[in-house]
Amino acid sequence: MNLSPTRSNPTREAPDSAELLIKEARRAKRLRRLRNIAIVFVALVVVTVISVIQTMNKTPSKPKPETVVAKFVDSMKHANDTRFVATYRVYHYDWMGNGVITMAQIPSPPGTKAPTATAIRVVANTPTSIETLMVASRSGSKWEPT
Amino acid sequence: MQISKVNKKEPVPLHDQVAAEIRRAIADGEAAQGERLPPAVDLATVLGVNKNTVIRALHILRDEGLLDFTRGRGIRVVGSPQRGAVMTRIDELLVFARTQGYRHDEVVALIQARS
Repeated sequence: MNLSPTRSNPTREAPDSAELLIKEARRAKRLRRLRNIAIVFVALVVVTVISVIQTMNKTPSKPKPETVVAKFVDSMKHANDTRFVATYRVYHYDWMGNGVITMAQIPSPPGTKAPTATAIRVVANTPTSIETLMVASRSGSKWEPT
Repeated sequence: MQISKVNKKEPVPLHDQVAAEIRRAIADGEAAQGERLPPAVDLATVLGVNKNTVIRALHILRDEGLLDFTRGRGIRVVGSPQRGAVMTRIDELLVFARTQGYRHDEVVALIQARS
């Protein structure tokens, strides 16, 4: 076996700056991290934009007409011979346009036989809904929207 | 950037060439003792070789006592290339002495008697 001195030559030439292996590797490491950060940032921006667009385009859920009408009828049953003014905002109904329904009921004074007066005012294009709401009331008189 | 110091057509194995490049870089003072080396993937990018080739070269340098791997702390330079070369030769001497019938303690005694 041949053992030879392994001390490096002190007169060795300094490496070219473009050939510095570790320096270039450190630069590659920085570039790789920057690229990864940029990818993550772009992905976050895309996800945020998509979620914002979806939120803006999201329509409010439709109320179930059957439930709302049932509640209305129930409230009218309990409101017999009492004074009240009720305002209903209606929208997103297939059978009725958007608008406001205002109802007022004025009971007759005690001792009189006049029926309770109830008025319904509908501010909307509601060709079919008016009859439905009238059935729910219990005044017994003729109904006409104002 | 890719440094074309590794020649795939040479008969010398790629991992040996990569180890020689890293050894030379440390000897040139690119990384002082105690400094961390860049990850193997970046060394591989610069040298234009596979990451596993660099890892194999780093293991060679660790066996020489030039580098130290610690989980979570990366790869650190712990020795000098000269010491690494001496360690390599000592290993070769021990293997050679063993093939000639000498045990480690006998080799140590021979070295002490020599000096």
